[in-house]
Amino acid sequence: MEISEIASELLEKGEVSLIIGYDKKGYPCFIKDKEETKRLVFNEGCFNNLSVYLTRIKEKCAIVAKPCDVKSIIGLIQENQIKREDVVIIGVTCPGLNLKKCLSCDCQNPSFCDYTIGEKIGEKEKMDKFAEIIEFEKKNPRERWNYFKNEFSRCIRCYACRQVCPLCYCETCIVDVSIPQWISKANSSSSNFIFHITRALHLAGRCVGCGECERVCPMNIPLSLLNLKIEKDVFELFDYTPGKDVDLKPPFQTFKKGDYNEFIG
Amino acid sequence: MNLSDKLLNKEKLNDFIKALKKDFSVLLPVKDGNLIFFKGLKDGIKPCFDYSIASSHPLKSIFLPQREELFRFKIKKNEIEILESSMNDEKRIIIGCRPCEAKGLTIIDKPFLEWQPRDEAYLKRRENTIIISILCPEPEDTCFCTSLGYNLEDGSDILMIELSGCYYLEVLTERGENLVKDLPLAEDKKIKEKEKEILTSKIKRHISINSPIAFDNPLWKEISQKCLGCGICTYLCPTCYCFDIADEKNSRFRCWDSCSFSYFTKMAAHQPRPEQFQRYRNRIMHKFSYFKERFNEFACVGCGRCIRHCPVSMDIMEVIEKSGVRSQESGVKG
Ligand code: SF4
Ligand code: SF4
Ligand code: SF4
Ligand code: SF4
Ligand code: SF4
Repeated sequence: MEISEIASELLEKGEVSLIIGYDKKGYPCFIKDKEETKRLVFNEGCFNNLSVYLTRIKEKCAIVAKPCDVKSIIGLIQENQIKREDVVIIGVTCPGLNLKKCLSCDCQNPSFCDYTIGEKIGEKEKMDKFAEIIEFEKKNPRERWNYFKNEFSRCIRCYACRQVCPLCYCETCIVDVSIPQWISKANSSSSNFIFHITRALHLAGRCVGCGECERVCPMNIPLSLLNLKIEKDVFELFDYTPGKDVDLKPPFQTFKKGDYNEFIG
Repeated sequence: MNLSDKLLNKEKLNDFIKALKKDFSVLLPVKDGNLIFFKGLKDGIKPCFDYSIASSHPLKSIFLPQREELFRFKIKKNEIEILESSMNDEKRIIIGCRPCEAKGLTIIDKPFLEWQPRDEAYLKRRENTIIISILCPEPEDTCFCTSLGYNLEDGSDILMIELSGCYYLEVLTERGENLVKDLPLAEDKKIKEKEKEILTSKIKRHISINSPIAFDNPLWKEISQKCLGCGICTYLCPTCYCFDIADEKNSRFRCWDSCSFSYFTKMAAHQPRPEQFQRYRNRIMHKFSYFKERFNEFACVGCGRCIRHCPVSMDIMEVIEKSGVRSQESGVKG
């Protein structure tokens, strides 16, 4: 079946009142009307991770999701932000888009979905996801510091990286609080650093590597590199990969005997 | 003073810029990966005039820096001592910005300079900065400057047009004229009109903003449903000028702010637009209605940055076309 047929049926039967999907240009679109479902497609231009809308939309909806987007839907369910039964997931098989993350992507066929669209895709050769960060870790602390200081200095604090992140759903973000002011509102080299470290750490064990933050950054700041470091640390210390298994407890929601706790001293 | 157009041989460009450096600090577009920033001319800096995307920061950031200290202060017992910040009164020349960006400054001038009190820091920078814009080599798919009804020359002191072998310099102000006194005269003035026509004919997108934008259009919610409320469209816009003021340590500064943000104006009283559709509507209304009512022009120059960079591909041109419909029951507030 086509996305549009499923969408039209879901609306017709009243199972959902809204479909979040992509139009022909690959842009996000919201469909409420059965007649409009013809606009829904999936193509190589569908970059957005639409699950960012799930915490903003207050109605029962269906969502078109790439296999990698399903990970953040799983994250949102694990964190009690949405209920599985409130969202119909229309998964699409994905050969990889023209994005860096696709080179090391480990999921071409969606799981966890209510519907799957597209032919099953066979195993592909993929790059080691952590290769880039392993290389980066070889630099000494000063070099790493200087690298990020230089990259973050371009940040204009537009917060698009935060707004577009499906797991950055706090209603009040620490940078927005002005009484007291935790992080300076103005961009400066030190406040940019604090913002970015905070953002990355708040996503530890939660970031699913969808890469949206980096994709939308108008200043080309390599946010994925920082995310990857934290993903790797969480994997090594807690043997956990975000967005894989909805029944697992993310490391910061639970405690296991023998968890890494050297930092407690 | 008579203004006359000049020619600048391409081979002489470097010498011309070097000569300017004696009296001015010169800012030029420089490539940094895929990005373009205006940087001060130093040894080893290679300007890039034929950049095919708009500069990564809007030109306004040179006149209204993202963070700007207003003054410093000392608190002693019951007294506060104010220490004035020194205003930057460097004489500057910007070479190679896009014409729409120069136009954008003339829009910010209105609230900042026509309204009282005038913004002295902004005024000083405007007075001290000469602008030589360059006619775009190729418009981008998202450009729609011709829809806004302004002249390509607006806001520039000189408009530079690249020809083969030389630059045509259309001199637009006296201070521009003073810079190019010694250059040879451009005899054939038709060239510039022809080049401008070629550029404008390449601009693919057009809108007519005939019907006024309607505040009570029932479609606003639908139109802006995708908007995530980030700061990209306002921060990168060459005509958005909202700022916040804050104190930190012993310094009072202002920094950019955006009506897209959920906490906009919260520091003053409250956020009068609690929902994102209201905030998105405000951006469009401000540009195409409120500003127009006050200053008789639109607060948009059609640079297309907000279209190009929006994370969810909101398209201001489509929005304008859809938003001109008024609800039957007028007086709806929200
Ligand atoms: S999107 Fe880029 S420029 Fe904007 S706040 Fe994030 S890192 Fe900074
Ligand atoms: S990659 Fe970026 S946008 Fe995606 S989940 Fe991680 S932090 Fe959020
Ligand atoms: S850039 Fe797009 S998502 Fe961000 S505030 Fe503007 S319209 Fe909304
Ligand atoms: S096109 Fe967008 S970014 Fe450019 S001036 Fe108009 S509103 Fe601003
Ligand atoms: S559109 Fe919004 S941010 Fe831009 S100037 Fe108007 S109120 Fe300010």
